Amino acid sequence: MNATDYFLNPYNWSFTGLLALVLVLLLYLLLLKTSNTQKVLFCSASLLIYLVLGSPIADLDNYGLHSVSMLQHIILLMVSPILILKSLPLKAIDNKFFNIIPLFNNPKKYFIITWVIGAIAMWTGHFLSAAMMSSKYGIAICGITASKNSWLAHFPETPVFVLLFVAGFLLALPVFHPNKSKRLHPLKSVVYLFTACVSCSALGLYVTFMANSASMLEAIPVFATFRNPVPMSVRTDQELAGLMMWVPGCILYVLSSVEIMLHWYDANPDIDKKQLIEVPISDK
Amino acid sequence: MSLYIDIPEDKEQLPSLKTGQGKLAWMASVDHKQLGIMYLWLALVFFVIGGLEAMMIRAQLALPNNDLISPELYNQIFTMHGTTMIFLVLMPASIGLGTYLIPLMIGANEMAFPRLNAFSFWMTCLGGMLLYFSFFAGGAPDAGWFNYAPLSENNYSSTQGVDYFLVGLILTGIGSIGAALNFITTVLTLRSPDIKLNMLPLFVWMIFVNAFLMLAAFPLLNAGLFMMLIDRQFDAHFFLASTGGSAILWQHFFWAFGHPEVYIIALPAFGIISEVIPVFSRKPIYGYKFVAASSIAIALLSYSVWAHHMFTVGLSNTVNAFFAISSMLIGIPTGLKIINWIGTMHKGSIRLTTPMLWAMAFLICFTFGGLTGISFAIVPITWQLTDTYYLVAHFHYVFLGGSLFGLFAGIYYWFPKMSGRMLCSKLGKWHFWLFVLGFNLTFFLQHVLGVLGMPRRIFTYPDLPYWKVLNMLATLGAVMMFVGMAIFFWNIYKTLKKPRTVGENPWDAWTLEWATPSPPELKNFDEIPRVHSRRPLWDINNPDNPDKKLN
Repeated sequence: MNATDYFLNPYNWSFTGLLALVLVLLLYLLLLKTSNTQKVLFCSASLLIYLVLGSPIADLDNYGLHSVSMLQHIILLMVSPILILKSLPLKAIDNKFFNIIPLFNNPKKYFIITWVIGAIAMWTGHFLSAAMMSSKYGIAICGITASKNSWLAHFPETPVFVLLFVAGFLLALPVFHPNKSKRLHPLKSVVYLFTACVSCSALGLYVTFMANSASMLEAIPVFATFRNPVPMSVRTDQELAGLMMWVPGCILYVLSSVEIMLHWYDANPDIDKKQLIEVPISDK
Repeated sequence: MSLYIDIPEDKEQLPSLKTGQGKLAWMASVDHKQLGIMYLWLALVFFVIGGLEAMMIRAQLALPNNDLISPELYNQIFTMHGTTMIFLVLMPASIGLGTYLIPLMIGANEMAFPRLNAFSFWMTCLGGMLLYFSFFAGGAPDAGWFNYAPLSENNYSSTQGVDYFLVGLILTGIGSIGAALNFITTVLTLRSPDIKLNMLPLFVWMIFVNAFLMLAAFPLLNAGLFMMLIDRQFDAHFFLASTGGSAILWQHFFWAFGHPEVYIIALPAFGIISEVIPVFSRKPIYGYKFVAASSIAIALLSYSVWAHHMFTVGLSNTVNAFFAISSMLIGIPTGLKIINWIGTMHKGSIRLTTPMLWAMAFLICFTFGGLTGISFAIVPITWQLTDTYYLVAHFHYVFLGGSLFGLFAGIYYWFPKMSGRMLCSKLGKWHFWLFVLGFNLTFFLQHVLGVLGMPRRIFTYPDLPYWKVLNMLATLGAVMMFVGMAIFFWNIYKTLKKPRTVGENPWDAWTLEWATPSPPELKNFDEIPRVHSRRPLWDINNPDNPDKKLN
């Protein structure tokens, strides 16, 4: 099967996932009063999540492609939480229900905790999925080899995905909280994002250059057969995984930092303080 | 001679070298203005040395099959030329301008750590002296300014030149890290209470961002330098593939520092241009926030592109593809700045003073250097041209066009403030035209030479079609630059002999340093003017039409 056939095959698209996507979008549009920009952001986030969990891209995971697993992590941990936070109206998250949780109520105070949660999720999520893939397909990924009899081979992926998304949400909260007064100061936000960028770059670097250790496996034909319908050697797959985390991951945080700075340069702190408290973001 | 000197009073001028203990007063100074000026003199001295080395290179390459210089000496000369110009000219000049101007521009009387400031300067100075001492200790380093392993290892570089290179650069690196810490702390803690961070003059902002870049980049270089020193002195194997090390690891260390270094050198020049163009266009900078924010983008992205220097070492296609894309992306924030500077000039009342001429030459040459840089982001082009004179031309357009021209603009712009005297405009224009025309004659033609296949780092070449004439013209251009520089030095000498006649604000500029006497006394400010916008002196001079209040 070539790549085109694979992607056009309706059986590789999750109908349930599509139904869930439509339902979530409808609920968002009907229940929440938001601006057009926020609607676009929410639709983008939902679509991206569907693409990496319900589309043929997600199924490529079953061919032992580590890069697909990394793409899922990037979308769930780094991209979609930011988009969703930016798409939510103030009341959706700044209410009595969520404010019981200190991390939600005052993310500024707990920003070190949220950062650590995000960074741990970034790294452990990667190692866990590498180990799971290794136990399932018998490939050494980033120097990790897990036995086929290991419990990892039967470990469900869904809880990992949910945890990654929650961790990503917490990571993004101090910078992108819908209530601006609960966000970190813009300059602190830039440092927060920059250090997160260092974390994802370090992970990306590690995975990319660990790919050299996989180069020996390229000689073994059986590993190439796993890679239908997207033919790719183990080494290329691993380099792609690392580079996705390193370069686009870093660019994501750079763009976010620049956006924050652009708003901050124009700001008059004294005037803005009043506005931040009185005017929710969604009503602007 | 007593080693004890009276501490000068705040209201006094900077000590004169001609007084009894003047030299000692300068050497022992922790005053930011004196240290800034000493940084600039250090850069000028090394510029003369590096320039003479460049002239020797061009004299050797003027004719085919020339044997004016031996291959061994040629290797030493081109290595020292590159190392000097980057670490001992462009870096100290940028740091020197920052050291002199930052406290003045933010309404402070001193840097946060005056002694660290002096320590940083003397470390840089000592590093440079050690580097040049190598000529008297068996031979200068000869493995290129990039000092690639394994060429720089004992097996291939048996003289002590590389050791002096390593120790010299470690010292200058420590000096740069000290300066960066000082810049950051000064900007964060010693600003006038009126000045919010989003009101900083763009020059200060660029130096501030640059300081973070330096803090992240120089430890990488110093780590690599230490590892190589251990390799060479204690027979370790970090970069020796034959005994389990990795020569490519050196390249990763070097270019993880080296690419940000390009921006470390360019960002202060961007800051200077962002001050000069508005003043001489009589308009506020167009898109302050884009110029400032794009600096952050450049700083962060500069750490994601270093592997484009390594397209030819045999990284995989996947790695090459990603770094090609990210290298192209970094052109966006840089291009944005160019648009902003042109936008500032658009419909402005442009005064073609010498600093403005340099700023305009910067815009053109840096854009050209940037475009050839983008061409190097395309992997097959790098494969073809990386070891040719096309690359030499490209990085000279970036380092000279993109940095030195900016520094010249800054020197002409702030010279009246530093000395109380205005540099002769006529001589300044002679300097400008000779240098810019000579520069383009030398380096534009080298693009053609590169495309024709002339390799770089060769001490001579055969008489192939067009190579002789193009090299001869390139040497002629170098001579023009040399004459231009001689005029510049003559201009400085002649001007410093004149009495001080310049008032506080000869250019009718808008930032705080122009509110002090020219030159400022030892204490910068008795009273700091109220600051409500990014152009405080404009607000004072135009109370009916002030800028938007930002505090």
